Amino acid sequence: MEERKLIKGCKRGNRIAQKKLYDLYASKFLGICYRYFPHYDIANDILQESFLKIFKKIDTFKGEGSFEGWMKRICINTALSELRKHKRTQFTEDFDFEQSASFIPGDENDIIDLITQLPDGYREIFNLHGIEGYSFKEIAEAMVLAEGNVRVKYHRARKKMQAILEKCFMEVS
Amino acid sequence: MKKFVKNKVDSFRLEPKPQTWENIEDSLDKKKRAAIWWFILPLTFIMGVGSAMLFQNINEDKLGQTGNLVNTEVIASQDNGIEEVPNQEVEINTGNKQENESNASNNIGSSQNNKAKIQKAHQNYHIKAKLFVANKVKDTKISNSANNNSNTTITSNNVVEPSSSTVDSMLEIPNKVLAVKRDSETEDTISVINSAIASQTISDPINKIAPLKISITPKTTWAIGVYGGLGMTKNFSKILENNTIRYSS
Repeated sequence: MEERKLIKGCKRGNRIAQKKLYDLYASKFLGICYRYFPHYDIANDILQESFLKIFKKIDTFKGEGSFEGWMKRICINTALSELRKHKRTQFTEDFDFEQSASFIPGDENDIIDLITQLPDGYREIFNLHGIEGYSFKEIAEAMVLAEGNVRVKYHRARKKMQAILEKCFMEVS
Repeated sequence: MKKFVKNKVDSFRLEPKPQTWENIEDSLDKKKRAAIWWFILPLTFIMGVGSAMLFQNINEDKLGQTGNLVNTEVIASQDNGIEEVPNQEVEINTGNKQENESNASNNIGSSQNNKAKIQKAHQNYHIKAKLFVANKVKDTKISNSANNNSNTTITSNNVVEPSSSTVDSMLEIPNKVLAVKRDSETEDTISVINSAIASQTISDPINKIAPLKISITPKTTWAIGVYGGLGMTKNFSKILENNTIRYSS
């Protein structure tokens, strides 16, 4: 009910409603942006851009499906288009993730830290498929890559993540 | 494992910079301002065009009234026995510009730069122009009476010409000046000519302006007309279109 009111207010361009919506979702979406761009300032810029797009396109939201999901998609698409702009989807073929990554289990942001330490390209694919649940086909289209290539990169990133997590958990236990 | 990672990630939050909202607000305000301009600018444009068209329509109405008077006079004077100058190279434009131009170009082809012919044409042009002015200017002192020919004189070669006093009296009417325009020339030329006319005390502008501007070269077409003095070059052009004597060398 509250959300519906907020949407209505935002559609009318009501500044209070816009601010409320921002306060509700900004920290969560900044977390998403940060997973794609592990740099606080850049992540803030992407968040800003995403909210501007949300307010601009809110009229196109017909109320079908989750509003949060709709906003999240805008946020991810903004991050992806920013990645394309910066041509950051270049993959390091032989990255030594297990050596370079640091992981301290028990820390609140341990997994996020680990994800953000994934190299460019791998990180986005891991985020999109492993966390957001995008299909390989969708990712391939969004990142302008071959589907098979995306699949390979994802499995490689996942394997390395898994290895490092298992190792750390074993050490802890 | 996947669930563990997903749960951790979903609960991850980061506090944004306070400036982020300020920037968003600024951008939204800018867009609002831009949207207002997008509304104001076309509105201003439409209003401008509308008022210009309205103004033009009012002027055209005024011109139309003048035109009717002029035409009436022409018809009246023709009825009263003022003869047309028998000259193939000079003709009155009755509105069909293309027809006149094609006639003119046919004449040009046959004349072959004959100096005598050109001189004669030049002479006839002046006579015709005077006659034209005599017939067209409204509120003249011309008497249209069939029996009264004191306003015209018959020259030795049997050509009817307005007497100089008639032309002078007509040209004393305010806002009635005569301008000469070559077809190919731009509006700027017209304004130059008009200012030249305005700067002189004109008793007979045909003699003063026309010879000054006419250089007889093959395929040169000149138009001569009466300027209503409304000050709009577009309207001036229209008057020239409708009330012109075309002369081709």
